[in-house]
Amino acid sequence: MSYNNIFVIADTEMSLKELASGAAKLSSKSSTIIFDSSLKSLASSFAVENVYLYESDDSVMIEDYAKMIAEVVQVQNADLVLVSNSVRGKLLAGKLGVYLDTCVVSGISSLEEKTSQRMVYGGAAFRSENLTGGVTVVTSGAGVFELIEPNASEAASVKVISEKPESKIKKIQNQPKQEVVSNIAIAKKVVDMGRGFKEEKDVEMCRELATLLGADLGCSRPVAENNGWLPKAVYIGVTGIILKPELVVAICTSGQVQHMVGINQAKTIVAINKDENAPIFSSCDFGMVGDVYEILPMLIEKLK
Amino acid sequence: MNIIACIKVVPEEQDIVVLPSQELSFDKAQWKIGQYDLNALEAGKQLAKETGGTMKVLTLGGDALSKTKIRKDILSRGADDLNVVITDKDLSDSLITAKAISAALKEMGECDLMIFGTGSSDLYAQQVGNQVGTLLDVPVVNEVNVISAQDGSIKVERVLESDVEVLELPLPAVVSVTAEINMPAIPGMRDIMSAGKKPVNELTVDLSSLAQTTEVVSDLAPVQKDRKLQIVKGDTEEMVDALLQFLNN
Repeated sequence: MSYNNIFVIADTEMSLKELASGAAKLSSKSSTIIFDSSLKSLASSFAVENVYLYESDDSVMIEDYAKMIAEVVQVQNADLVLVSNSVRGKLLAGKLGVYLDTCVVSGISSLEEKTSQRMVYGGAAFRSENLTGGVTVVTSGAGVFELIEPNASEAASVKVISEKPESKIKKIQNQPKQEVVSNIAIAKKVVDMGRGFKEEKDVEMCRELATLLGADLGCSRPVAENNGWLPKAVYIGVTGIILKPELVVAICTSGQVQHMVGINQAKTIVAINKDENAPIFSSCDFGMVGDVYEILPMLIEKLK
Repeated sequence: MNIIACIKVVPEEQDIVVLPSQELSFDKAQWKIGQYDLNALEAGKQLAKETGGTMKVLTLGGDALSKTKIRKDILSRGADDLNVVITDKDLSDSLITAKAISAALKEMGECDLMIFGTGSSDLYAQQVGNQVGTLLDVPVVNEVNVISAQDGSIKVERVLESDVEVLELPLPAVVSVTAEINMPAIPGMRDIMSAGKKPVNELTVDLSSLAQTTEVVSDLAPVQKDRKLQIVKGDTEEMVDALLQFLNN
């Protein structure tokens, strides 16, 4: 075991499962911090020392608990704090790094012993770092740790903290986005829609293929960010999601480095592109050079 | 509103060469303003204009910052002046960078708003802004997509995974902006001409006592997986059948 005492800070159900699984792999002793009382039983079903529930309401930004959490982490002598790599998680982690006076390693791709790996230089390299602080703060996104089943013999006790944190920031409003939460980061199969498509309705063709293959639909950054055809939560690449699936079917993606780092850990890559010289054809297992508007309809027909 | 945009000068990704040892070589790399920092500069420029304020720029890094070309590039993007800290300190730990920036900001005097990009385009820890705000003990948020100036405060829209938060931050404050907050303008001839006349201040900040708690072992290019490279072309139906056969094996 690499660590003596880990604190997990989870802001969603998925991050709770991921990080609690990671903590179980890295240490025999860990505690979990949550902010949502509906996660109480899930949190305490993992074999953890303590569950801390910071009872927040809509007026509170969970990031403002950082100072209170840092105190607990210090008192409990934790040597690793695992935080969700969400927007809130990253801000919370940054604050914790300051209060604990230690480094924050953001968006790791792996953590073994006391060495982390994360992607740098736009995907050109993975940086290995030895974490030498007495305590380290790490943010970790989906797909980094293999999920385990909750394994507690008896449920851990839950400590409820009802004290609200100080904050200078006033929350005025919360507008839910019309976006579906995606589990693409842990999908076994992914259809990857590239920027080479002509129009928005082509999304339906890709989605149909994905459904027939039992795959999730993702895309390259421009498809989400410039075209807005798919939610930003599903774009693949260095600043988006890094996949490790069994199969990726990359359609109309040219194979730029920033995108490839998101898919090249896939076991199998199938590429479809009309440009024979597209770089993707030098890093795929099966490549089809041709018109996607002929290939896809026929492929969909035959899969049916 | 008086604004300081904090930016990083980074090696051009396309000039980075992967050596046979999988290590990276930066020997041929040109230096440029980090991609996401262009959004911070643009946001600062727009807000300064809107409020009749000023924008200073602060940057910190190695010898690359001594070059006139990069200084002029920064100054052609709406800055009133450029403040530079040149150091050979290893800046791979974001907390060290944040402490150095905080120290430099104190040298620069008071300001209302400090703007960062969503992350540096080389290391992309996305932490320096968060940590500077915390070190200075002022309101700080990341992923800000809209900023509107109010009297003594700003109203921001912050983009989270499943919702958008509208927040009010009393000033002074620190924000990191998204890569989508604006489309950075390309400097015009007049901007480029006037950039050469704007002041550059070299700040001295004592960083000797800062010790980092991480030690970089290596930066290695990912080893390319051996792929089967079975490429087909020609008749669509034959290709589709070949694919189905491939997937079934």
